Amino acid sequence: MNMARRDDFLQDLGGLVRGVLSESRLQKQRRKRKLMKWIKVALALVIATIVIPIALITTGFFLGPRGTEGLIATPLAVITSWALILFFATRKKKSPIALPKNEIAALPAHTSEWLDFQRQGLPWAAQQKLDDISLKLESLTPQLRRLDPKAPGAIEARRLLAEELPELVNGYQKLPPSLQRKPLHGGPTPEHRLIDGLTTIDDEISHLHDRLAAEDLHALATQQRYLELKYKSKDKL
Amino acid sequence: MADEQNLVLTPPAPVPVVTAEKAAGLVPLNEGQKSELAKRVESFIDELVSLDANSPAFGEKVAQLTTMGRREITDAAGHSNRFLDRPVKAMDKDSNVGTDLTALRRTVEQLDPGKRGNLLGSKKLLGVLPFGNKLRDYFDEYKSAQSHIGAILQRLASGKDELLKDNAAIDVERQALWAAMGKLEQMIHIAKALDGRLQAKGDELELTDPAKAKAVRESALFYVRQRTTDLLTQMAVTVQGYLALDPAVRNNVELVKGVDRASTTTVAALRTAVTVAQALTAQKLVLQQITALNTTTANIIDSTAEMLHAQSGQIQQQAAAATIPIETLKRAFQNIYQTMDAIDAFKSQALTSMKTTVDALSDEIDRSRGYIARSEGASQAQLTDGDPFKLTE
Repeated sequence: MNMARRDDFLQDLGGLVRGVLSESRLQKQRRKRKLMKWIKVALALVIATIVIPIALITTGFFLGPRGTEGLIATPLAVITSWALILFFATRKKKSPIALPKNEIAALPAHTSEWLDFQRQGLPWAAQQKLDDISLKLESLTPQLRRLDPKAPGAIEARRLLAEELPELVNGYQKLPPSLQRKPLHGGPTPEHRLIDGLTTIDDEISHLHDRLAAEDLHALATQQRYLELKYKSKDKL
Repeated sequence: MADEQNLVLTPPAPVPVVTAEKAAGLVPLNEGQKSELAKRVESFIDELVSLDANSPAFGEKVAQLTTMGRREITDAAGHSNRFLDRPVKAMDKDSNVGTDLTALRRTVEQLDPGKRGNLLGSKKLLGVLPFGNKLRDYFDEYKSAQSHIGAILQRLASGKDELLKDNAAIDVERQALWAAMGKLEQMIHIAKALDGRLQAKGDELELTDPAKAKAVRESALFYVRQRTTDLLTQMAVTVQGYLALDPAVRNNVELVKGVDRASTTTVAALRTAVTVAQALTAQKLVLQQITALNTTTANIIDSTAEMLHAQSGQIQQQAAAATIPIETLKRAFQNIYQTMDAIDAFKSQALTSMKTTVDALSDEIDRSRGYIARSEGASQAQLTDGDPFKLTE
């Protein structure tokens, strides 16, 4: 009995440590993603600054020198390109509903990213749930990659991640902040409903994960049993 | 030896139809599970009765009853649908092995000494002039046929592997199905307990709160009974599917036996030919392919080694006696034919029995589809409602 309790305790502790580790992993991932994005932006700015003057000088060679016009046009073009690059980089991303149909493998990463964008306006408990969901999505990616986009599992994943989840989060975000914590008709608050909804989705992702793995588990068990039937239990047949 | 002469393959009997009424109770629940489930039923009833019969909360509670066991039903349905094609697949495998067996028979028939007339007579050019040796020519044919026979035997061996793999898959599926049936059984137990408790609660409330008693009977009890039917129907289908796996397994086992025996008798006939050739023509008939097959696939052709060991001693004796060596060879060929006839008879009987099973199962599955559609429709309406009867894994 004592042993069992100790095991439980150790398991809890393990879960806690794993949770902290995975959370920091999540944050690291998020930071890495941001860093990559800004590196790309910086690269685009540098390329624009080099390529545009060279292009203008080259056209000058062919069409004859532009004089003062060219001198003014070059910095103008460079600055415009900077403005455009920065505008697109800082622009908020669209919801993943517009995800093309065949990109089922990219869906978890896309959803994860989308969830990151939504975190700020949400209550703390909901943010925790989003982190849980993001972590599960990570393990879902390799499973979805092997799936035919038209398979029932893929359709389910698409519906859950690209439609039902955004609908829930957007539904909450649409509410004026003053109403977010006000019980509706004596029932639970919208905040509570959001968290419950996210819990349901979290559970459903787990189920999906299990279902998608079921086939592989099945195949492994079958192979083991086959080897047993073929080489071990001759008299059983 | 008598047993080996008569190969008996028993076709599996068709699976009887399981009615919904008899479906429950096949998977036993232990006392611990029962008391745990009873507790949940009790707390649900207490909560339900404490609510105002006209409040939306009461409605929500009742609605939970309509989706009770949704996941269990869907899971079990998914399994049974997959099982439906098991017996059909088994029949397909039959046909693969069947093709190879037919090919083997055709090849073997060409070598049958019984169809060659008098092999001991000398061969004559234009029917008059003595020319060559009939027997020598006949045994030469073995050399050209051996690679063909070897290839067929290899194919049969891999066909046998397929059958074993099929049985392994069925074994694993049976476990999954058993688990699904256990969960359904728990839900059925809950549904029946709810039925009894709601009925009793309704009678009890009749005197103190007639309106609530009416609500309990007309909504809650009604949905519980509807759900019980759904669960029992799905249970019947699942049990049927579970039972239908058995003939598929047995069919495969019998077929494996048949393949083993066909391979054994063929190899035995070829060995006899080697011995007879030696005795009659002093010709060293070398059937490398077959010898190789013997050594490399001794474990594939299960009983071959053992049986051949016993047989070759006898053959040696008979051939050495040299009274009727050709007769011995003819008998070896008869053995092959007997085996193949037994397999053919088995297959046609098994096919009928399997078809009956599949038909019964498809009827049941069609019937349950309606129920699943209903439960799916109900669940779409209230996806976020918690399930008070959710079973732990």
